[in-house]
Order: sequence, then C-alpha cells, then structure tokens
Amino acid sequence: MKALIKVGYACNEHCTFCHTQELREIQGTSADVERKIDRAKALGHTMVVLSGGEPTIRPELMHWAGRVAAAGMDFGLVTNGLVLAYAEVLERLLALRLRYVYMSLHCGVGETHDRMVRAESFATALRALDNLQGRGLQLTVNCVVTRANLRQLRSLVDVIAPRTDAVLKFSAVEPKGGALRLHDLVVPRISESAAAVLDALTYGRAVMPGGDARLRHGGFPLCLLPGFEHSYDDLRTHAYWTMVETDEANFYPVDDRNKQHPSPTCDDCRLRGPCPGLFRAYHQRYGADELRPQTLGVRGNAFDWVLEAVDDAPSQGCPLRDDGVTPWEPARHLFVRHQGRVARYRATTRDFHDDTLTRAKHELGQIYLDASRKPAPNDFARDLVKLSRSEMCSPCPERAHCTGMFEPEFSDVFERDDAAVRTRLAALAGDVLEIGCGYGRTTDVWRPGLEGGTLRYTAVDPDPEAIAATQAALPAATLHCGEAELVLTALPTGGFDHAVALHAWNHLGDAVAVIDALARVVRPGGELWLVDDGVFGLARTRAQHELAQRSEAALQHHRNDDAGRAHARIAGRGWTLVERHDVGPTTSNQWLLRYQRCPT
Amino acid sequence: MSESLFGMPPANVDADIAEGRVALTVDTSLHSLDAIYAAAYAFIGRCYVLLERPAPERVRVVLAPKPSGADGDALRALIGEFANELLSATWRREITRSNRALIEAVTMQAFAGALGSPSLDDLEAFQFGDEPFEDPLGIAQSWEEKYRKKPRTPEEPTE
Amino acid sequence: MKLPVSDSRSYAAFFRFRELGEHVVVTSLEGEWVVLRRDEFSAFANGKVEPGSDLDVRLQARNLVREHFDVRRAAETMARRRRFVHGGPNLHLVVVTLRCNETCVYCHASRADLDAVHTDMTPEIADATVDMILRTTSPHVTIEFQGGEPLVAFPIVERIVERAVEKNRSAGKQLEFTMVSNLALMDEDKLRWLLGHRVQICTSIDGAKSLHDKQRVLPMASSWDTATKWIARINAAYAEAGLDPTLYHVEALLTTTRETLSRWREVVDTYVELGCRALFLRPVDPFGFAEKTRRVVEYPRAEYLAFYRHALDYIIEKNRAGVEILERYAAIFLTKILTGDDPNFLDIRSPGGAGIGQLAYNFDGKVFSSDEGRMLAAAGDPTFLLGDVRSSSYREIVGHPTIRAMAIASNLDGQPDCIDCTYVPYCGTQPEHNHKTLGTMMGRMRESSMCAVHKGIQDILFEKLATADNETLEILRRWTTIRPREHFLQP
Repeated sequence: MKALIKVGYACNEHCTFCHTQELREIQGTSADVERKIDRAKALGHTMVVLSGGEPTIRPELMHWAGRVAAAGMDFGLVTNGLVLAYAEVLERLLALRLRYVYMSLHCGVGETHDRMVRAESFATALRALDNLQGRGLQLTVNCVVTRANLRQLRSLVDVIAPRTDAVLKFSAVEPKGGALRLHDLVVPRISESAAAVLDALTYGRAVMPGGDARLRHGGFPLCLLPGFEHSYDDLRTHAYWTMVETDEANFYPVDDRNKQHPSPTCDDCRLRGPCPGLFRAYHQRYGADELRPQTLGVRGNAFDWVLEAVDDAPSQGCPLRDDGVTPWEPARHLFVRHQGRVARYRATTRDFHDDTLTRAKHELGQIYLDASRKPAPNDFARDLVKLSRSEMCSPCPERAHCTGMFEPEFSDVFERDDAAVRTRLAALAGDVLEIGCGYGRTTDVWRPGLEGGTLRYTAVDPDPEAIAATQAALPAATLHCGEAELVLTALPTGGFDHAVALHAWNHLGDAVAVIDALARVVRPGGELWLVDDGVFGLARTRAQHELAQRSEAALQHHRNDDAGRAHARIAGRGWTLVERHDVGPTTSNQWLLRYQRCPT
Repeated sequence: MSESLFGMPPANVDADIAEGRVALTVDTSLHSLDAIYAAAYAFIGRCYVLLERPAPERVRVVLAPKPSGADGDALRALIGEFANELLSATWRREITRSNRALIEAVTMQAFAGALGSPSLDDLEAFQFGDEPFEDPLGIAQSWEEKYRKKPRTPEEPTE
Repeated sequence: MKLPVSDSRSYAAFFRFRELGEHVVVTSLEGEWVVLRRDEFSAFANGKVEPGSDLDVRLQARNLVREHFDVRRAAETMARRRRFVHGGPNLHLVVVTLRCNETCVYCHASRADLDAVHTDMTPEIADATVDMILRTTSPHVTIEFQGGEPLVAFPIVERIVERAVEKNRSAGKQLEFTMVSNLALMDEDKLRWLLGHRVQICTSIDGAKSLHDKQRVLPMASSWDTATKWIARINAAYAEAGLDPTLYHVEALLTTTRETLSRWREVVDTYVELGCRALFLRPVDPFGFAEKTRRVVEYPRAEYLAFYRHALDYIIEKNRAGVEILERYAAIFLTKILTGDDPNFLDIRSPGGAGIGQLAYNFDGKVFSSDEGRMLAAAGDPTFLLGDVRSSSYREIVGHPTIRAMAIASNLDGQPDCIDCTYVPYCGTQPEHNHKTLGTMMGRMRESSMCAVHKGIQDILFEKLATADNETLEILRRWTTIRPREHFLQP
C-alpha cells in the first residue's frame, strides 16, 4: 500500500496545464516530510511515493529516500524524470529501494513536449527513460492530453513501444490551475480527446510488445473508450491508500471528489463503479451530452470488505479517534470491534462507486459479517451476522467524517423480514402469477393454498432446472419456461388476481416491459408485489474473499434498484402504490413495493 | 586426419578419431557469439574447448575430451550434445530477451523476500549518505532559476 | 495438428495446448484450463465458436476468449500462483551426521560407517546452524533432520531443537521439526523426548518386507521389522495423546528403484496396511550413488510412467473402496491445477526453491542450496556450496551468485520448451538435477528425465480429469485439501 507525500510545489518544468500552478512558491520543510514518512510507516504503508511539484529537485531527496528505506518501506517517485537522466542518481535511489516511478512525457514529438512543459527537456526525459529500463521498476509514463498533443498521441506510442518496461498512460487534463487559466487553449472537449486516446490505444494494441498490458488511461469516462474499459488507471489501481498535500498535517484517503457522475445520465450505467466520470469543472461548463452510458449488461449486487489486520482493542477510548480519523476511508475501511479485538477490513472493489458503498454502509446499514465458508452465502439467516455502528460513536464529534466503529448485532433480520413476507404471501388466494419463481426460497409458500384449493398458481422462469424442480414440488402449478417478457404475451388478459416478483425485479432484462405486460394480465383492482434485495457488503477474511473470487457464480443482476428507484420506473404506468418498505439500518437488505392495478 | 561421423553433416562436423577430438563449425548468422560461449562453457568440465575463426561469419569449436581414448561413438555423442546445447543457448537467449521484464521482476522479488532488510553488519560497507547529488547539467534547478532570466520562454500551446 | 494462426481479430485469447488421445488440453497464460474434444478445439482455435453456445460459455469461464479477456483476473491468478516468491527459505535440512546403521543400495554419498564419528556435527556448528536458520525472512520454519541416520547423533538433534525453541521466543517464527529416520535405533526414551518436543517422525519404506530388506540392509536384523514395529508404536503413542489418527501418524518415503516398478500393487498395499495416508511415488534421483549402482537401480522413464499409472489407478481404486490415501505428486499438481494455489513444493515451482525456499546444512557447517546440492558436493562437485554457518552471513548465503543463477535457471519463463508447454503454469525444474544429468543448471527439457516425469504425470492427471467419473473426480479433489498438522507447531 502506497502513501503519497507532496513535498512542495516547485518544479524544474512549468507545464501549461499544471493544476498546482498557483502554488509553485510553497515548499514543505524537510522536518515536515520526515514526520510524514514516519507517519506513513506507523499507518502500515509499504511504500512512500514522493510527489510535488517536482520532488527530485529537492536537495533532501537522498535523505528522504534513505529514511523511507531505513523504515523498511519501498520508495517511489511521481516525477518528470529529468534528474533520473543522471545514471548515478538512479543507482543511489535504487539502492535505497526505489521501486516505482510515475513519469511524465507528453508527446513523442520533442518540440510539442517541450512546448507543453515550457522547458527544453525532451532529450533529457528520454535519457532518463532509457536509464529506467531493465531495473525491475514499476514504471508508468503519463501523458496529459491537451489541445497541444491531441493529434500526435501515436508518436508517443512509437517512443514507448520499444522501452518494454514502461506502461503508457493517457490522462485527461483537469480544468484546474494552469489548465483553468488557459482553458480554451489547453482543455479539449472530452469526446474529442477520448477519440484521440482511443485511436492511440488501438494503435498501441497493434504495435506495442505486450499490447494491452502496457496501455492505460485515466480521467476519461469509460463509455468513451469502448474496448479499453478495463484499462483504467488511477490512484487506487496503483494501490495508493492515502495522500497528504504539502500544507496538510495528516494523511487523507485518496478519493474522486473532483469528479462526478452526472445524474440522471450515469445513473443506470454498468461502468459506473470504476469510471471516473467527468471533472466537475468540465461538467459545469459543458454538461454531460458527450457521455454514452452503458445501461445494459449484468452486474453484481454485493461486495467484500477484506480483512487486513486484527489488533487488541484499547481498554479505554476509541483507537480511531485517539490516532486521528482522517487516514481511514469512510466508505472503504471497516472497523469491527468484538470481544476485545478490533478487526480492520478494506473494500477494494471497483464494481461499485464510493457513493454506493457509503450509502450501503452509513445510510442503510447493509454490512454483514460472512460467517459461512461458502463462495457465496445462500442462507443469509445463518451465514450472515449484521454489523451496526457502535454505541461508542454516538457522542463522538468526529462521527460525521469518520469511517466508524462497528459491532456485530446478533439479531436475525433476514429470518424476520423473510417470515413477514412469507406469511402475507401464503394468505393470497385466487389466481397468482409469479415472475422468476426460481426454486427453493419461496416455493413452499404456495403449497397450502394449492392443496387447500384456494389458489391457482402460475409461474414463469427462464431456468428449465428450476421449472422442473418447482413442478415436482408443486404438481398442481402451471409453469412456463422462458423469459418473462415473451411468456407474458401468451397469457390471457385480466387472467390474474395477483402478480408477484420475488427477488426477480433486478434480474429482469427489460423490467418496464414486464410491468406493462403485467398491467394487461392482472385484473383491474388486482395486486402487484415486488420484493427484492439492495446492494450489501460482506466483511470477509482474505481466504473467504479469494474463494468467492474463484467461484464461478455468474452475475445475474441487470440493475441494483432500491424501492425508490424501482418505484420511479413504475410510476405512471397504470399502478397505484399502496405499500412501500425501504431498506434501512434496522432491516435486512430486502425492500417491498405493493401496487394495485388502476381501473381501466 | 579429418573424418566424418555417422549422421553428422561433414560440412559442419569433422573429427580426428585417432587424436580424440571433434569439431563443429558454426555459422554466426545463426548463432550469436554469446550463445557459442555459453554452450562451449558448459563443456569445459569434460573437454578442452578451443574456438577458432576459420572464415568470416564462422566459428569452429573444437572439443577434446579430457580423458583420452574417446572412440568415434563417444565423439559423435559429444558433438551432438554440443549442437543441442548450442541451439538451446540460442533459443534461451531469445526467450530471455522477450521475457526479461517478467524474469527480472520475479527474481528481484524472490531475492527481496529471501534476503530481507540488511542488518547493521551488512550495511557497514555501504555508503548511504544524505548528501545531495551533483547536478552538472543544472537539471535540478527550478524552472524559475533556469528560464526566467532568458529573454524568451517557449511559447504557449497553440492548435 | 498445426499451431493455429493467431491474429488480433481471432476468437481465442493466448493459449497453449497438448493433444491427449481424443482430447486436447488447453491452458491459458495464467493457468486456467479446459479439456476439449478435438472438434471443439478446432472450433476454438479457428474462431468458429457459436456466441452464447455451451462451448463459448465454458471458454469464457476459463478466461480463454480474447474479447472477454479479464486482465485483472489473469493478473491476480498469476500473482496467486507465485505467492511463494516473496516467502524466503522455509525448509532447512540439517544433516546432523553422515553415520548410518543401514546400508542401502541406492545410497552412497549420503552415509558413512558407524565408526566415522568425525562426521557428527559439533555442538558449536549446531548452534551456529540454528542461529543461521532463524535469520530467515520466512515466518514459517521447518527444520528437517536428515543423515546419515539422525538417531545416531541424537544429542545433536536434542541440542538443535532446544536451542531453536529457545531462540525462537524472540524470533517468533512458526516453527516445526521433522526427523527422517530408519527407526532402527529408536527406543522409548528417545520416543518420549521426540513426542514431548513435537518432532514429527518420518521413515522410509521401500515396499513389502522382501523388497525393503533387500534394498535397506541392517546388519543382523530385518530393517523392515524394526521400522514397522516402531511405526505401530509411534502411531499408538499419537493416539494415546488424543491426536486424530487420520492426521497424526508416521509418514513414510518410498524410493522407487528398478525392482519397485513391477511391484506397484504390493507397494500400495503395504503403505495402506501401515496406516500411511500418503505415498510419494518419486523416481530414484541421480545424486549420491556410483555409476555401478546406477545401472542396478535406474530405469527408463517410460517404464517409470507405466508404473506410476498402474499405482495411481490402484490408489484411486483403494479410495473408492473407502481407504483414504493420496499420491503426493498427484496432490501437488492437482492443487495447482484445480485450486489455482501453489502448495510451495520446492522442486516443482518456478522459480525453484533452491536458496530462496530452502537451504541444506551439512554436519561440517557447510551450507548448500538443497540436499541434492550437498550430495553432489559429497560426490566431488561443489557447485552448489554457498558458504559456512561459522563464517558467512545469512545474506551472503541467500544472495550468493549461485542462488541468483539458480533462480533464473529454474524460472520457466526463460526456459526453451517450457514457455510453449501446456503445463508450464503448474510445473518446475530443479537446477541441481539439470546440472547433474545434462551438464548445465538450465538443462535441456527435451532430454530431461525430470521433464519427462512431470509431463507424463500431468498427462495422466489431465486424462483423468477429462474422463473420470464424479466419484473419482471427488477423490482427486479431496487430495488438494490438506489439513494442517497444528500439533507439530511449536507453541
């Protein structure tokens, strides 16, 4: 895990787009940097990366690298690399555990690069890049895409291709600092720059030894780089955990708060988890019309917090508050206190955005400890233990921005919520149609009604095995195997008193089409029951996490609607809402909506 | 007296069975000198190995087994093994070049893991030194120091 | 079958393949695998797979489809397969003496007669050895006593165990001890001490009594009778201590000689009767015996593979009849193939374990890359000598140029043949073996008997995975779950 320390903002280049251009006079003191190195060690980092400004022009460079190495950590640099053109400087740094270099080079045409950095540095940068080959470094060459180099990106691919240790990354320019001041000269439209990057990446895929493995991009909406969605690269993919600006006293988690996913454009996009979205300043100026959200496709509805460490809990006080709450990510870290021990977990998932994680954890309380040994828990009541915010957090002034202390709550929310729904479904009479019946979880709910003659039960499911098993369990049921959208067209108009979709809504390919079809087959005054699960997180050991990663359980969700979002889709389509239960801190992750069919 | 050995092309392989030596003439456009040295070195335990340059683009490798008395079969087996080792060395060199980053990364990690951090004893001979490095080309000067005095700075970007 | 032409528009992601009868084994860059029928393989290689078909789904699930290639998953899988790389030396073999009371047909350089007391480790060297071992970066340390016969120099074994336990209070390693002994010199006092100090005991069994006694000659007595008597006694002692007998029992090691080959059924039956749960069908290694002996005990590898196939089938048959016994080679490869993990068996990994995973300490203080390296030195070839516990630092030993060369030589990513081999994600080579048999640490795999064995065994295993019924597959899968023997960890 890397910590990023910005040592000051002075630089031996003067990039046109520099986002810290106004801060160039600010330099951190050596003592301050030393203190931050020591703090990084205490927080458990394994690498310290110095950035700026340009960290290599500081005379204390060797001293800092030595301090990092002496603390048993690896050393890294975010740099324009020029100083590394001195082979002996690089040798000394390698001996001091230099393992990571993130170096800027903005064009393969020297003139353009020099104009962008406003210095004659291209030849020196190439010399540095050659020195860096074959040294076992994690080496990224970062190119900021501005209007100046937009049409020459392939030239950089040609320069980097033979330097096989380097990964080439294209970064979107952030409208901030220099780039904001010279906005129209520097910042291209995102669709235009993404098209140029897509062209360069495609070219790189063809000509670079190593191909995709050596190509990355950052700051571009993923929907604009089709075919390279997985090649995104940011502080998290580089395993940065925390960072500290020159004028900050403590480390803060890395985040994406300078970017946003414009609503509603991005709301349903399946790429949202890892996607950077748009820079806020860019969105303010140009809006979101250039985005091409990918709303189709399956996705997960659960994620893992993975165990990182277990420590003894202090007998008094809170270990988070006592040590400073800022390094811990409110969404991605999870502290669980139980029986005198505190376990620290971290979620590295990129399937979900931080906002989704924050909501599941802090607003909805959908965090569970996985007590099973299965790849995927399937009996929630026995497999999962709910985690709730500790009472000790209530009076704490840091509560709002702290990741929080959680404790297991041994109340069986799953069994309780499930039983409540089952009892009510078992009381249904008349003609019932179930969409996505599956087999097992609720099959037996219908048996008393069927056997007692009060219920006629019809069900639809695309899985032939589930249909066969359900038929064996409920011989009197009428079952159809197929996609609901198609099967419903063959069912009689007004043929049903109740339609139910239990844990099926988010699995439906075209949910709105199904709702409209149900409006035809359910009698006026008849009911529609929707019960489904929201996003939740599991606290797991590394072994559990890896077992789950290895399992072949296919993703089945086409969306992750909660009750509110599902209702927003249904409203105005011929149904009147009569009952709504949302997911919350005291419930399981199950929500419920009940509608009545409007009279025609 | 030069003789040929069964199955070996006489243009490449010749032997003097009475003198107990066998030779392979290698085309250096097929095998690099590095590969020839590597293969030859693997035989110095068993043979005296002599390298000659009979013509441009050719290296002749002569193997003379250390214990004397090798017969034709033994010399044939020896030069056959050498030819195989030479091919192996050439091909390995190619593979190592294309997989170099991976091999170096794994080796470096293995040694970092096995060696651990140096103790004070290990570090006795190593000069860490906190002194700043020398900067004869003025690379580490700040942009302001280096360029502000100049009458003209490189231009702002244009389309 | 020709290698399919690859181009950027093709269906398949990078793959390697190997034909096995009616089937073709396909492995991916990162070691995911699938066994295809020939027609399926042809469709796969020629990009003629119907989108959404069962084959398409299977191939996608194995990350073998270019369009859906999951780079992150591949990277994580590769990292998991090489998790051992950072580990540091965890296996430390200590030869406390060369003296041995038995004379074995295949053992030459590893033994001395009982009067050769100068081959006992001195207390000073024993202490320095312990200190060196505990400097390892590995959090897990297994000290394995070998010989010679360790019971001949039992006071040195006691000294090493006691010092290691004492020193480990500050070193904090997960420490365990294993002793490989023929058991002939065991007595109740020694046994009590070994049990009390949680030293795991292993022995050698070459097969049934007639074969064992013939190959392992104990003057004036039957080596078989003494070994089996003590196996029963030790197993009983574990049971008396309340330890689960399925987990805690004497394990035995087999040396497969020419004579063993036809007696596979008898070997398996013997191991089952002795209560062993594992049988390691290792071929005899080329170290430590004279050329004359080689002709007696060595054999072509094809004969060995036929033996292996018979024995494995018979072991599976035993399992189907309810006997739980596994074959160690199969378990090692299957763990890699089926679970994606690496059991860190030091001779079958890439890079190999010499120096970076194990070290061997001779009675005279000399440190070697492995026991094989030590045996070569005893036969006059000091190539794998790294230093001396009395004068070398730990980092000098582990950072020795020889170890660096071995790590590179045994990295299959730089090995001709291996880089194209279907089984490369699961395989490994041993520089000492290559050096001894082929003259260089790298070796030439086409001529390597070790490669023939590894490849042959994996052929047999993939055949099983392709054709076996569910019960057999379940048995093979069970072999990949190894329960830790926590009792043997020092508290």
